[in-house]
Amino acid sequence: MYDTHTIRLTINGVEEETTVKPYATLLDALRDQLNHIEVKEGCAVGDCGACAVSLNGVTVCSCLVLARQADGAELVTAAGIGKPEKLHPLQEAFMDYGGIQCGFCTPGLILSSKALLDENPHPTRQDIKVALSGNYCRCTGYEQVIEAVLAAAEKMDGQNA
Amino acid sequence: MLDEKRVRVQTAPPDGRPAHAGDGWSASRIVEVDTGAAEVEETAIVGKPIPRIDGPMKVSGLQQYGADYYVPGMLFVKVVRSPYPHAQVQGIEASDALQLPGVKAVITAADIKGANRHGLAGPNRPALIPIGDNVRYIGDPVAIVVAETVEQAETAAKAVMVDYKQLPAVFDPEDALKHDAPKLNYDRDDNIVSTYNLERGDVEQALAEADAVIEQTYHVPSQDHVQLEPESGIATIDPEGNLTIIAASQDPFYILQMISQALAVPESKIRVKSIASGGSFGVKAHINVQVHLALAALVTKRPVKLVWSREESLLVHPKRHPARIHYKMGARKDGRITVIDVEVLSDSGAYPASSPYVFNVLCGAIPGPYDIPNIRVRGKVVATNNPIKGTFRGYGDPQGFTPTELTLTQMAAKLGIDPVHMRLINGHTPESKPTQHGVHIDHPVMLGETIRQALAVAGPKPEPSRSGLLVGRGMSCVMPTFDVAGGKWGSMAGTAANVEILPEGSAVVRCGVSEIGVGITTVLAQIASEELGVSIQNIQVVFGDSLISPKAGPSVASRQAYTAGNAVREACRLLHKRMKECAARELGVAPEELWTAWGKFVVEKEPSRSLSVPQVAAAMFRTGIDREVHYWFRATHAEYGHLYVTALVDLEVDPETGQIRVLQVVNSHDTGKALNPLNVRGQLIGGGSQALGWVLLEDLKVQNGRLLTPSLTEYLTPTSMDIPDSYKTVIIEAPYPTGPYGAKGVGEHGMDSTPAAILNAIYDAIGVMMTQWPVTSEALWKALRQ
Repeated sequence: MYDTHTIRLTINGVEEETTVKPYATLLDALRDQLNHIEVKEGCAVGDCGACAVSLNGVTVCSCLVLARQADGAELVTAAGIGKPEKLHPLQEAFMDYGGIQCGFCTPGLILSSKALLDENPHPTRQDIKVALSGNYCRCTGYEQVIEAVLAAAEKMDGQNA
Repeated sequence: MLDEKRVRVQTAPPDGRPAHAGDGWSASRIVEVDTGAAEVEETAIVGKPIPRIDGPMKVSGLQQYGADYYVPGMLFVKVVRSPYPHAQVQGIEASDALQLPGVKAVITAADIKGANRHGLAGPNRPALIPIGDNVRYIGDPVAIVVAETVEQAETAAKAVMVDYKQLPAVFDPEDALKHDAPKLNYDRDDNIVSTYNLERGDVEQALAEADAVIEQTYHVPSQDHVQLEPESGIATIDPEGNLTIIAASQDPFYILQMISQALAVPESKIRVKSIASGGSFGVKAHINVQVHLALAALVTKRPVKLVWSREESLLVHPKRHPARIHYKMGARKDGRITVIDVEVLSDSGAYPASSPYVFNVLCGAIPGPYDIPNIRVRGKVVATNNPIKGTFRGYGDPQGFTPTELTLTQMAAKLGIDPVHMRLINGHTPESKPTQHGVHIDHPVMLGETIRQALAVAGPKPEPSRSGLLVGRGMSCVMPTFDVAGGKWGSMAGTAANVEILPEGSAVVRCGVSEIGVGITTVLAQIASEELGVSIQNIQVVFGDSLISPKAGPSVASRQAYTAGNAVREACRLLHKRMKECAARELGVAPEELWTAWGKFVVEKEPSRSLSVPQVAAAMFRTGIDREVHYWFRATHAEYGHLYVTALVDLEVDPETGQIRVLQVVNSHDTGKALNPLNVRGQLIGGGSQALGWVLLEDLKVQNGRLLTPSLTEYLTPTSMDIPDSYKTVIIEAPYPTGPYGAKGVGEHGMDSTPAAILNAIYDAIGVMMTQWPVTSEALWKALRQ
């Protein structure tokens, strides 16, 4: 009924290839075809931010990007920031400060926090609130998430000095 | 009193933290209060802010939720739902749908062999509405389609032709009580789901004698959970017909029983795995995808997957009960409340999913933490053709507590009395008889302490940040309860755990709790580590699996820290005793000659002779000693425990725009021993945030049974931009006599305490009590101009 298209993506440094329908979103391709379950679907219409990925260095909701539009892109997901055996300081801070509860929004929050710290290594509480405003979290009330990002910034600053 | 209390603020990282841990403790503004009420048990691992054991999986995104399961050969399910609020199903024509590509089955009630019903308050909700019966709300399930792909299932679902005869519908609970209203109950000839009647003292006389009376009607709204993970899961069936359903829930054992009854499958052939949940807050106490998954697997004999869209989730799952509460309060000049006379009308929606129980708690909560000599509370919860109402954090408590707190605050203003003083003089004493079901005051009343500590950490009321703005401070006191597994109701009565020490000295804890995000599995691992002398890294907690983790009952009612905590601790203590006996035999001494340090057994008189836990575990294996203990915990002293919470809120109102900026939220909680203070703080703040959403933002609009806020674009929950400038929590460690290490419950209570504090702060700022919410900018702007 529809033509399919082969797309190539570099996901967390690994080149991957898959075939998608013209209307498939990047979220569908990542989850259903490439087994990247760390990208979560919370609403599929760009409200919640659970499906956030870094697309050529820009944090986007992967549910709002067609898979074909991403052909040739470099993607980073939460699993690309750090895996359980080697976590990023930001991920460690989320654990240490209670910034996770159910964990469903966490990959998206990690992505948005990482993007903030890449751009602004010394964020204020207000900077963090703005940077995370596209990520819904229903469990934490954001407070311990903000504390985690502040602590991670301080720790990473110490490591870079 | 305050001078006698030792308030210690812990600033150094405590022991027992992994090497990578940052200085999270000092930053997290937890104030520990030693009340001196009784000795808090000293512990090494329990009570410490240990990072969650599932943390690494969650921060890397590798934690699997229902939608993350992909099984070879699986089919996809789509539910055909009613577009009408009330209609008779006269026929279902599936032949067109069955001819579409990839469609494997269209399943209707005719294919169901069992009772076709499920429900927390007795099985009253059909899994699928049969021909001849009526759909009762928009979204009622009529058929399910199973196909090779999600798209094929969705296309085919639209091709299933259902012949409906529309019926008169009722949406207002007052209309539902009229004799000519359409009848929605299966088993009664009216729409009353349940009633509540409590009368103490002489209400009429007390009202006549009161120095001041306040009369007011509150419109307490509904609320959606908006758990981040929409309901999802898979089911598989093996050649022998054994079913496995993998989906997040709050009680795998309840789900199992309901599937068995609804579909006529023996309980022994069903395995329900309640996996990590992407948020629950009560919503996953109800059946969601599970019964349809089981049915689809039974009919097709293939693995099946069902993931609800966000819109489907918002439409279908049971929400918070709204209530119209007509309130009369009488008081003496000195501020003593002498009487309350309250009438409650609530809406269960189309099915009483849990309404009788929730309504009982809602009405029982109305007197709050106050000793009021004359009480009358009368109420009805009735069926309508609105979306279903069910269980949501607080279980009726926020709806019951809030009007009392708002009325008390106005009464204090009317009498010219300090509202804090008024709360203190009316508060429970050890002799008080609370109205909440199954609650007795059986340990020190910490109400006053929660108030004093809230005020102490809040500091002075702030000044407006610029001229023209209005600042308000509000307080709210509540007495929430937590279940102690002492009830007579099957599911809640009793909690079991199984603990095993493996031959190498690691341990497995099996306990059928659900990990709905609160960190209960981490707490159980802490307890096992503390008691067995095994490091947390070497403990696996097997939870939520009806086949291998013993029955723990539902993860609701703020109960599992208490109930599962007790079961795991007692199982560990029995196992440790057995380990000690084995160590004594190996060392050739009597058990009482051994001294137990964490992780080893030492001969007291010869400290050079000792055995480590791994050495003892190996000896148990070698000499054939049972390394597992099963323990059944059931409280006998009460059905519910109770505690006190005081919330304090400062906020700033811009009268020109109606905008509210929340400056500070304090929750001062009578926690008992905080098993993991990081988790306790998370629950208080998280509950406070949901309360903030309920009071200021979340406007669930329903018109003629139709949801006018069908997606997250319309239904607004708090973002990071909506939170208070400062959030403080106070953990008061007055031990609960039968709690594990003295712990009480905590999960729901920030939601109970915070709403009235926000509304009272608005009242303090503008002088108008908002009797319905959410208080949007528009609503506040209008209130200021009336």
